[in-house]
Amino acid sequence: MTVLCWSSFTFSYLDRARVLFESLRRHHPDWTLVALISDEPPPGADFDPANEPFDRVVWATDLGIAEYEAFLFQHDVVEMCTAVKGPFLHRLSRDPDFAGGAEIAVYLDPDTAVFAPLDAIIARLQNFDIVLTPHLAAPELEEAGVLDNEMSALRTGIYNLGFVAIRLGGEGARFAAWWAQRLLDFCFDDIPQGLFTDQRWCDQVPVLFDRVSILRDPGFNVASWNISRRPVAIGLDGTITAGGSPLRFWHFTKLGVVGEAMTRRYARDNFPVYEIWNWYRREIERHQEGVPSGWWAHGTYADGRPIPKPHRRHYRDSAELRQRFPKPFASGADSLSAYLDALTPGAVA
Amino acid sequence: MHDSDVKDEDRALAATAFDAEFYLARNPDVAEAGTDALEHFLSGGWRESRDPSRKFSIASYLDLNEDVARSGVNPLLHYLAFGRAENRLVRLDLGFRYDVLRSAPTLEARLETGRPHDIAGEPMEGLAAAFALLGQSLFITVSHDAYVDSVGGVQLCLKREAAALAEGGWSHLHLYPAVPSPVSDFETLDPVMGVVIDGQTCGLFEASKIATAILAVQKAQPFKTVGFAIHSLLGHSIPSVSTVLASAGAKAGFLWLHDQASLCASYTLLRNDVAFCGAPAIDSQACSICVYGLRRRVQVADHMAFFEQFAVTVLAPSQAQLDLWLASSAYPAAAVHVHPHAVLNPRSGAAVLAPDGPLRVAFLGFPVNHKGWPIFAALAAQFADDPRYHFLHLGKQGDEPPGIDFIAVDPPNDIGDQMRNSMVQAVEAAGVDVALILSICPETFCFTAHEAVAAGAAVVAFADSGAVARFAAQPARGLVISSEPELTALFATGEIIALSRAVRNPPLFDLHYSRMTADFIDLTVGAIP
Repeated sequence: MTVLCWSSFTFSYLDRARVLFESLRRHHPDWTLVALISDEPPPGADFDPANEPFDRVVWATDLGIAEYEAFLFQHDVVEMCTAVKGPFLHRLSRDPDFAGGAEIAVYLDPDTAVFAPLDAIIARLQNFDIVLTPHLAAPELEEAGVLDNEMSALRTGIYNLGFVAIRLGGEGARFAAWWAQRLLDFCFDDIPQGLFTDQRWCDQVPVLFDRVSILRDPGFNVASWNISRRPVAIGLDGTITAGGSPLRFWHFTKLGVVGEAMTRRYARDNFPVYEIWNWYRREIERHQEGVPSGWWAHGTYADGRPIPKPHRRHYRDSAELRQRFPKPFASGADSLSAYLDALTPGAVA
Repeated sequence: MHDSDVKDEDRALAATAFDAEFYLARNPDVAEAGTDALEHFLSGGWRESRDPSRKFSIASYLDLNEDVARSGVNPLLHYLAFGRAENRLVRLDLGFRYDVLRSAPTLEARLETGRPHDIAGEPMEGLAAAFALLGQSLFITVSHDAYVDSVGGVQLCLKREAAALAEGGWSHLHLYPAVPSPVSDFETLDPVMGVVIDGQTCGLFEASKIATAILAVQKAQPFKTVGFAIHSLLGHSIPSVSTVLASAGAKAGFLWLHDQASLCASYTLLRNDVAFCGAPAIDSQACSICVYGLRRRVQVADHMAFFEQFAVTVLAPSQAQLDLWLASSAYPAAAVHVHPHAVLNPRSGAAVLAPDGPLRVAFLGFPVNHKGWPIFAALAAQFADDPRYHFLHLGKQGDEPPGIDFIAVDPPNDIGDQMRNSMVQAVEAAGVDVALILSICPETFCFTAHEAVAAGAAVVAFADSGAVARFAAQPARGLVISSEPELTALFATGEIIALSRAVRNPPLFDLHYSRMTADFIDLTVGAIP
């Protein structure tokens, strides 16, 4: 089975993506690795895909998304990187040339890293067309865990879409078409409306599609939100296990103080967790070159002013604005920016 | 910011959990100002994260209870009024390994800070003059320091080794790295080494100069016999050491397993400095996340080249160490032997008994992580108020947490044969019942375990501690445990009291020290078996 594995990110996450792709190279040298980038290289950056640990770059601009600029403006960076996953997967499923002949597509978030071969996923795709991993595979035992982890999964989605694998045909293709359309229309962080980017949609996958497999093996997609029930151990033979299962991939979500607090809260004195995190920090440090912190080419108006989130929301909610300002990133007279600025304070919120 | 109007009921509530003595000890500024401790805490001290007692950490409670942090209320008051009833988490027991990992700089950064760049060797003339005095039979030793100036059990044996060589009429050349390091050096092309000849320090010279000078002596008149013993390659460039040895014409020698440096760049085999790793395959997941993983590849390859160049007899100070080494390496050793640094010889006399007092539980030596000091300190804190136990630390320097009494002991520094050294005497005088030798990594040999038993104390050790565990497992020596919870349980149940002197009525011993490599060579000049 030929496998294409991709990640979706912007340049500020290039360091993380490099760590992921290097780890994939180590364990799956035969997979085709693709970077799906919703960004433009920062000025002066010497970005050469030939020097990166992936085989191919696909620019989000080239996915054929209608009225791309307007689409882009409606999404913040997280929404954008998740939204393009659907159209990309859909394209893979209907265009064998684009897929490079791959029969299987595996998505991994840029902040994941692979610690051992993911063969079990490929094996599952012999009998299933779609594989998802849940945030939690065992009930929390303390109230704090219920509040932080189980309730978070209720709000943001049962399955963590830092990973999904499909066969590029059958139910996999049906899923790709459906997901692509939903994400083109509604890939927003709007929890009150029941939306959380690309993730919450997938709560429906097991009931909308056949041949869906939920991979509950605790070695897959280990993260701060599930380590309370997946103690990590490193044996004298050098094998790392999570919840007693060999560690396959880790989701290093929220690199920084917030993530550290959550990790401490649920790892407690399970010190191998901190060893793994330390390794990840060192790796990120080692892959910093050309990675500007906070950079996103589409985070500002043409004049460099950061785009306030309410501006994006207002544009998203108003067909009239979208029609009137097809070039929403422009600055100056007659621009969306000038129009929204002129509104009374509070009107844009 | 100060809360000027503290309510009476809050004051009364806080007083139920406030430890004024602790607060003043922790905050000398408050003690100096003569302010009432509780008043200071309530009126703003808590905002500065000043803890009200050893049991309650402001920072930890706020970290665990974000809503309390956001609300801006006094965390202790919140806990006492609401948090306790709501079963809120007060503190996370993250363990000492977390503290090590939290502050861990990268290995390369650590090595870089310890590496001076301006060390240069001295002119060659001095070296040539010193080498001109070398005799016909040359024995070269290599270790991590100039043993003549250092104290410690191994250094003491090195001095005995040197004395035996001198007695046998050998010239003794000792080499040590000018820059000490916890790993072998593969960055420096021509490292600087310290040269000691027959116990006299001769200065610091580049390895290439030492090799050239010794080659010149050898060319003029080859040594009749050349042997070597490697005690440690830490801080050394292994290829440079090989060049020096080869220049002297050495073909065969000894390598001591005083530490694990031939197995890994972590000479303790502590993965990421926190846990015994078992020296797994170099491609293992464990090595891939370990700070020593990359250096291990080079360090092991350098050792392999060394074994391939010379006929190397491996000397292990314990069977446990030899077993670990054989199971974890693939070096082509010419031969292997076990040779302990010291053995116990029975001596007459009765052990000090303390039938009525509490069990005297001691930590011996340097209070460092890999010797299990944090585990001992945590245990002592937990049982500080338990009348069944009295916790002691016997060592050179102490900075004791409450609950542990310190007894100063000078390191042994006498090179006689039969030893009742300063530590043996101190353990005996203090009537120590149990020595907790809680090394979290395999020891190659343990002087303190021998000293403890020589003085009549029982030894408690972890199963993964190599030579200590093997030693403690022998009849009537002590006890081997598998985990920290098991240790705590022994104290909670009182089972540990079965190891008291009163119950065991232990025999006493003297230590008989080895002469290390000198015990393996025919000291009649000119003959190396």
